[in-house]
Amino acid sequence: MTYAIHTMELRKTFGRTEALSGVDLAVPEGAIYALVGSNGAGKTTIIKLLMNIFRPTAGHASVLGIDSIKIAGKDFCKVGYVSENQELPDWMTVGASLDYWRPFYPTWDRALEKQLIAQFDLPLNRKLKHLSRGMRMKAAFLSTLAYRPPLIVLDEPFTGLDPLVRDELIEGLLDRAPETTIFLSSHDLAEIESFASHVGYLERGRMLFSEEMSVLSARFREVTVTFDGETAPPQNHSADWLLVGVAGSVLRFVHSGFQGERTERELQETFPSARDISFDPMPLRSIFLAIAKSARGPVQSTVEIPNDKGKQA
Amino acid sequence: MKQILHIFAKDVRHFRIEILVLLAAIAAQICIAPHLWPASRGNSGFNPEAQMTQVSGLLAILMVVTWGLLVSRVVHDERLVGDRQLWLTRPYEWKKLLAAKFLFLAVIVCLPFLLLQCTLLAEAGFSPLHWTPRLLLSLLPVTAYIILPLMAVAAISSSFGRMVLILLGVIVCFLLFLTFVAVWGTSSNPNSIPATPLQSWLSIAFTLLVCGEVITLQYAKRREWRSRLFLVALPAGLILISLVAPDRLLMSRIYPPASSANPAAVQASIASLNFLPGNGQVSLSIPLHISGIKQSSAIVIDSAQLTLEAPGGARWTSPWVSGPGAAFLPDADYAQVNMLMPRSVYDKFAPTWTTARLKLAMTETHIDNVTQVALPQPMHEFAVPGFGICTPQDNFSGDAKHISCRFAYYAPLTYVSTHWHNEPCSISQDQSEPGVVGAAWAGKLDHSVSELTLFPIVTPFFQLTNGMVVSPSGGIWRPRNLCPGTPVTFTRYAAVRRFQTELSLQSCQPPAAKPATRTAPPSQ
Repeated sequence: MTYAIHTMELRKTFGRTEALSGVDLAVPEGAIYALVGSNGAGKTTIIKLLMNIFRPTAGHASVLGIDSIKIAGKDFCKVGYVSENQELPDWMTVGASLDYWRPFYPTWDRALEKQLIAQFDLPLNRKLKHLSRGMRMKAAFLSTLAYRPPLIVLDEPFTGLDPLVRDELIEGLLDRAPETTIFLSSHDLAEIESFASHVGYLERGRMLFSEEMSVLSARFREVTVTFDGETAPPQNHSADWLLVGVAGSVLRFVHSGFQGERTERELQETFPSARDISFDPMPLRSIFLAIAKSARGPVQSTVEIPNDKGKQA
Repeated sequence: MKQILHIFAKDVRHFRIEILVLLAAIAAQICIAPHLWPASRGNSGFNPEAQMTQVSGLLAILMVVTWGLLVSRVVHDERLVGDRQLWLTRPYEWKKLLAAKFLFLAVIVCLPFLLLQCTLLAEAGFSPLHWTPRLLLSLLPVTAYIILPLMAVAAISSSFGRMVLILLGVIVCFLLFLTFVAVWGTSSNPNSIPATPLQSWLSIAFTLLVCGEVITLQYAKRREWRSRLFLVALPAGLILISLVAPDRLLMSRIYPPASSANPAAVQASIASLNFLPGNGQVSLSIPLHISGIKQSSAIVIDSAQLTLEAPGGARWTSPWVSGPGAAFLPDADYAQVNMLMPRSVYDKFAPTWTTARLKLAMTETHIDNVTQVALPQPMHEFAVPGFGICTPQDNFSGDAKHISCRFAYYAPLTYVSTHWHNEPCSISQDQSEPGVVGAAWAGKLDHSVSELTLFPIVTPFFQLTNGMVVSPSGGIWRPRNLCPGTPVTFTRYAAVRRFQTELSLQSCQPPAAKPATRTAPPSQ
């Protein structure tokens, strides 16, 4: 498989602070890869390393087969980059900025430019500094999408935007999806769940996992085991079980290695006295919360959870 | 090339207001500067010089400030410091971006500056075509001392404000350095030592090298901290060059000691050694007897170095200090060298009898060109080939009282002589008595193109000797007159060779009393 983005043991320190600790990442060509993580997890640092804005302390990264520390000049004809806090040439009008950028790109598509101007409803004669945040982001998207780059890198592109603008941008982006690889960072799970094909989770500079969305959804299940009487938390359970908790006669946990009937069979063998075992699919948000809670601090793999009446079991 | 022009056009569009301000300042300067040349000022009764000088000075400051602003803005438009700039992830090629910035500076800063110089030369009566090489060379110090350092500082700063802060920091450090040197003493005070041509060239080369490295490094790799270290090395290096100039180290090579093969072109002896103790420093004046200067020659004392030795072992050697600044003709018999010494050093010698040795670095010059011109009517210009354009000035009294001249870039070392009329020019003078000689030295021997010059026209002041006479009616001094038709001789001198001679004064006694002057008896 060819990768649009590939990192190996990528490390970045700022003084004594380690922003990234050996990140391995592979973004297949054609994927819509969402890099998620809380604020300060290192998402922007990875992107700036990929764009050769920062230089890695150690490790290696390649973008479209080019070593990230060598990416420059004409290489950026193949990469589109939009960031939430990017400094635009504010003194230019939207139209003037498009006129300025156009000659830089041999692949600039005038027809697509016109289509996007109409789609995003951008005022060409207004200066960029006089645009709202949403409009500025639209202008940035337009000047990136118009040259049809094979790779689009977006750093928190939807942060602070109203739902309407967000939908417009996602729509514009997805129209290009068949011909491009999209790599975006976000800390809002809900906004990427609907369209990302791959997802990676970054926590304190470490990549906790990176995989296809469908595989991720398939391997996570919220498991509820109901017994006839009160039960105790199981000892020495599998490492795949996260957030294990007991409430009276109910044992609940998140199974991170669910494999369909095989897992169901294994659990029935583990809990032969169980009255009922249910496996519920989890939304992305719940999966990430489970992972995040498990990964933080001293991991408490077995917890007491309150029962329905709010009493401690 | 397409990308270079594209970025250049964008910058011109963006900074059109600043460009207009610069062009307006230059246009105003072109209008005002000619009024400051004394040779072209009319005797209308209104002397606008003071106001005009102020306005011209302000315009010059405005021009340099606008240069700084333009350099800052054009570099910061694609800022090299920071990680949020859009251009970093756009298909800019650093070499083309840098070329576009240089093109902007060449077209918007250097070209108008050249046009200003051409226009002023033409206005002053000099052919810009004749001065083309010098015109182009004048760009070198402007680029090395103003444009490139500003660009280098802009390349390591994120905004005009930060750039100004860095520049202020550099100025404060430099002032602190000068203060330190002043307190420390004169032994290495750069102000007391004339900058030598080699020193100027070294400074230019060093500045160009460091600034070029910083700018290239930033555009190619954006290595902020390394670039900042380079820039810190710049003032340090310049100070080092000013203190340890190879010229001074190689003084005896440039001015070989007089010998039978290289005889001294002048006989000199120390007449006396005079001390005037002050609080922190002591002023020394050393009158000299001179003789033996050959006909058609003149001697220039370029530098002097004094060594004092006391019997107790105290010893002090001054730095090489600049000479009297005048040339000496065959009939000269007196010259004087002045210098300063630290009070702390002086106190080690006073009031001990001390031996003094004085080294003089001198240049022998020969007559290169003699031009004689008959004076025109007052306020009428006349050109002196190889010298400049001059005008007899009348001080609003009808008759000329002195001659003022203007030059392109520098005034060559020239001896100007003529004869005065004691009476008004309307009264004819006895032809058998040509009148008292009035003479003056104008210009200087060495002129380095490495000196920073903003304007091409120089108007050095020289005053002809014997310009006043005591009125026969009783005790009142009145000016003599320069009448039309009187011949004025302009004798230009050129350097022939340099040599060094050493004089000694076996015993002199620096006075112990505080503010006193004492003259030791001459001895040879």
